[in-house]
Amino acid sequence: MKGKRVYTRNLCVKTIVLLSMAVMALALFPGTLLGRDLDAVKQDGVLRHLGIPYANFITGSGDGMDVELMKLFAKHLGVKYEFVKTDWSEIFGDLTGKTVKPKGDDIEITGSVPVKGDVAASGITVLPWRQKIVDFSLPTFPNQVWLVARADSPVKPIKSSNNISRDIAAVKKFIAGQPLLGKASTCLEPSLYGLEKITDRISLFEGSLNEMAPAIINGKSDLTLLDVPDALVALQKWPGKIKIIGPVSEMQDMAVAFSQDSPELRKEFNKFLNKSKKDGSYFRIVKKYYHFVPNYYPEFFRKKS
Amino acid sequence: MQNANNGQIKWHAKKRNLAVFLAGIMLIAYVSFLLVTNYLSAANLQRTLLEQLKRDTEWHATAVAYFFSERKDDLVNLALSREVSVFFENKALGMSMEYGLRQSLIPISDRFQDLIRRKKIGEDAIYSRIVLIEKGGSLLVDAAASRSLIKMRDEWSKHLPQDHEEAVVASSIDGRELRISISYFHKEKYAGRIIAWVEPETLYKHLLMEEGTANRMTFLVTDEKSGSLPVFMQPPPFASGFPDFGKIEIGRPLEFEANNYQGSNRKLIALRLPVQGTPFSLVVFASDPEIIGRPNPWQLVTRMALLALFVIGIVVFIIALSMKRLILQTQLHEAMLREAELQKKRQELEAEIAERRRVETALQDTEKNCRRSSTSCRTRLLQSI
Repeated sequence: MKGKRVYTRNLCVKTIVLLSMAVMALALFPGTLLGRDLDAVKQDGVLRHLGIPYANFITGSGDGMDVELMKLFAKHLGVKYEFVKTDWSEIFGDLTGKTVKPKGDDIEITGSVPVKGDVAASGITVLPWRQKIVDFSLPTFPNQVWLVARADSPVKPIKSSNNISRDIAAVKKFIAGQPLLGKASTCLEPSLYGLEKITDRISLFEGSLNEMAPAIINGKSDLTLLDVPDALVALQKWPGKIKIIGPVSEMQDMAVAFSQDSPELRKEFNKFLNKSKKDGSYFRIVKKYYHFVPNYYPEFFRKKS
Repeated sequence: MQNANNGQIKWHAKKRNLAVFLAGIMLIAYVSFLLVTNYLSAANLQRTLLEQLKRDTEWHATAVAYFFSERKDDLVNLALSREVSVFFENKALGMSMEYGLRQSLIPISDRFQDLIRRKKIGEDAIYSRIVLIEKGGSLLVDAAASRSLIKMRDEWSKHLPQDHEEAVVASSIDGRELRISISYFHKEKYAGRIIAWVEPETLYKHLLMEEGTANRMTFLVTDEKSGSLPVFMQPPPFASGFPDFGKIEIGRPLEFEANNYQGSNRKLIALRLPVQGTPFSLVVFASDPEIIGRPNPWQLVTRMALLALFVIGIVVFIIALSMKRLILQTQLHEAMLREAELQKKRQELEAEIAERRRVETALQDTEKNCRRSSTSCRTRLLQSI
C-alpha cells in the first residue's frame, strides 16, 4: 500500500516536472513546441526547411532536388528560405516537437524537443510509422528498397518474374543467414521489411546514407539495403563495383513531411506541387538532379503529371 | 632598147611572182602551224579539263572517305565509352533490366543523344539516329533526332555484317539510308552492336553539291551485292538516256546523251571513282561545254582546214588581182613606150617630109629656073637663028 502511494507520488512529481518544463519552454521559446502553420510562416516571413545531406536530394553544397523545390515553395509563399540541417534520428522531432521511436509500423513518443523547422524534405520515404507522426504531401518521387551486393559477391542478381512479391521473396532467400548492412530510423531499416527474422547478421550503419555503397565496396559487408535513387547514383559513381540483387520492398513514395499541426501549409504545398508539375518547373528540377529517374520510372512521372 | 625594157619588166614580174608564191607558201605553212597548234591546244584543254574533273571527283571522294572515317571513329569512341562497357559489365554481373541494369542504358542513351546533337556540318545534323542492339537482336537504346524515327520499322539484323571487329559503312537495301555499324565485344565475345544512321542530305549538301557547278551532278553510289544504286538520289534531271550506274567503269569517262523532260538532248560525261574504306563510289555527271559541248579534235581539224582554205582562197584572189594589175601596168608602160617611139618617129617623118618638101620646092625652083633658062636660051637661039 505504501509502495503504491510512493509510486503515485513519483508519477505526480514526474508529471509536474514535465509540465513545468513544457510551460517554461513555451515561455522561453513561444511557438517552438508546436509546428507552425501557413499563417505563422507567412507572418514570420521565413520557411524553415529541415534536411539531411543525402544523395541528390540535398547534396550538402547548398543545392539538391529538395532544396530547389523548397526554395520555389518559399518563393510561392512569398517568404524567405532557410535551410536547417538535421539528422535522420532527429528530423521528425525537429519537425513535430516530439521525439519518437519506431516500433514496426507503430511509434512510441519518447519526449519533446523544440521545433526547428516547418517542412522536412530530404528524400523521405512514406512509411507507415512515419505517417503516425507527420503528414505527408503528395508523392514527389518514386522509391523502392533494393538489396545491393559487392560485384564479387557470390550472391547473384535475381531474374525478374514480373511479379514484385515473388521477386521480393526470391531476394529474401539470398539474405538468409548473410551479413546485411542497414540504417536505423530510415527506410533502410531491415526490420521494416522483416529481414531481422531471416538473418541475425544485421549491422546498422553509423555513417550517412551516402556512405553505404562505398561501405560495401570497402568490404564492410557483402550485402546492403539501398533505396533506388541512392542505388542508381551509386551505379553511376561506382560502375562495375556493385550489383543490384533485387527488391526487398514494394514500390514506395517519397514525399515532403509536415507537422500534423500544419494542415494548411501542407495543403498549400500540394497546390504548389500541382502547379509546378503543370508549368514544368518540377520536371526541370527532377531532370537536373535525377535525369535518369523519369526514364527509369516513366509510369510514376506520367501518372503524377 | 625596147627589148631590153621588156626583159627588165618580165624579170621584175617574175621576181614579184616568186615573192608572192613564197609568201603564199609561208602563209599556208603559218596557217597549218596555227591549225596544228590550235588542234593540240584544244585537245590539251579537253584533256586538262577531264583531268580537272577527275581531280575534282577524287577530291570529293577523299572528302567523303574522310567523312566516313570520322563517322567510324565516332562509333569506335562510342564502343569504347565507359557508358557502354558499364552496361555490359553490369549485365555480366547478372543484373536484370528491372533492377538496376536499365539504369545503365540511360547514360548510353544520353551519350548517343549528345553525339546526335553535337555532330553537325554547319547547322545540319550528321546523325539522325543511333541504336544499341543486343547480341540476340533486341533493341537496348534508341536515340533519334526526332521521335518519328524511333517508330520506323527496322531490319538492321538482316543487312549488316555480323561480328565485324571494325566499324563498317553500309547503305540500306533501297539505297535511301546510310548506316555505320560497329560490333561490341565484351571480354572478347560478341555482345552487341551500335548502329548509327547518317543523314544523306547533309552529306550531299555539304560534300557533294558545290555552288557554281550547275553543269555537274555528283552521286554517292553503293557498290554492294544488291547492285549499284545511288544513295539518296534526287529525281534525275533527265527523263531517259541515263546510264545504269553499274555500267560506268571506275576511272573511265563515259560519254552519253540524255533527254531532259522538255524533250531536248544533252551530251554528258560520266566518271566514277571509288570512296576508299567504304562500299561506295562517287559518280559525277558533267555537262561542261568545255569538255562536252565542243567538237572533237577531228572535227576541229576539219573546221580549221576549211577556214584555212577560205583564207588561202582570199590570199590567192588577192594575189591574182595583184598579178592582173601588174600585167596591166606593164602593158601600159609598154604602150607608153611605144607611143613615145611613134611620136618620135612621127616627128622624124615630119622632119623628113618637111625636108623633102623643102628639097622639092628647091627642085621645083631649080626646075623653074632651068626651064626659064632653057626657054630664054631657046628664044635667044631662035632669035639667033
